[in-house]
Amino acid sequence: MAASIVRPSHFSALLLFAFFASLALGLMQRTTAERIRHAAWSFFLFLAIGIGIAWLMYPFSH
Amino acid sequence: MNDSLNHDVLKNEVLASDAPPRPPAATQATPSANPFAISTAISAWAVPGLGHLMLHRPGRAILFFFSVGGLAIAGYVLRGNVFPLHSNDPFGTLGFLADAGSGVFYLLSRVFEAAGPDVSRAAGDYGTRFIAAAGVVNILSAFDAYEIASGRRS
Repeated sequence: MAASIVRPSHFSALLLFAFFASLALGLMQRTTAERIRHAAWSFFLFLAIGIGIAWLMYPFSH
Repeated sequence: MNDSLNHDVLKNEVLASDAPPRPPAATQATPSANPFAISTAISAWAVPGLGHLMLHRPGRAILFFFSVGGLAIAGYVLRGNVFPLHSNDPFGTLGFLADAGSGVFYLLSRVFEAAGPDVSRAAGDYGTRFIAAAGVVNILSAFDAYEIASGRRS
């Protein structure tokens, strides 16, 4: 039987990674408010930095 | 009266600073000597979330299990590379240390990734990073559990 092939887009893979990683990073804060704020900020930074680096590399792909 | 009181306090402080340093109290346990904290950290590494469960924090335990497991299983589904124990390459050894950080999920890699890795596609390369990130995140959670168990944080 052939193995199933999962091919997410670059962006959906980034979303998935950012979600799980920021969730875990947020859990290490002390209070619930800090956890939510830290997780949301980490999630935003993962996306912003990922998209930023993608745009920086864009000229080299053409 | 206040002046005399301040003078006495100042005098006591000077005398205290001249005194030789006292040895640490015998009852003050160092974190490294706390077997419960060590066993909590090892449990947190072996099964993600178990350390926090032992510390009566079931909500955080479930979320740690969910996040570490989610990263690891997503990595296996994407057919990322799982580094073996023995490697001639130093980066392979580092990769093993990162992957093995996910504890039981590292042992389950053969179950979830029966077809083996495929890094010829971008998805497989992403999967390799997902698996390593799961291990690193779980190591951080084990440190977190250790600090809670040793009383350094709540």
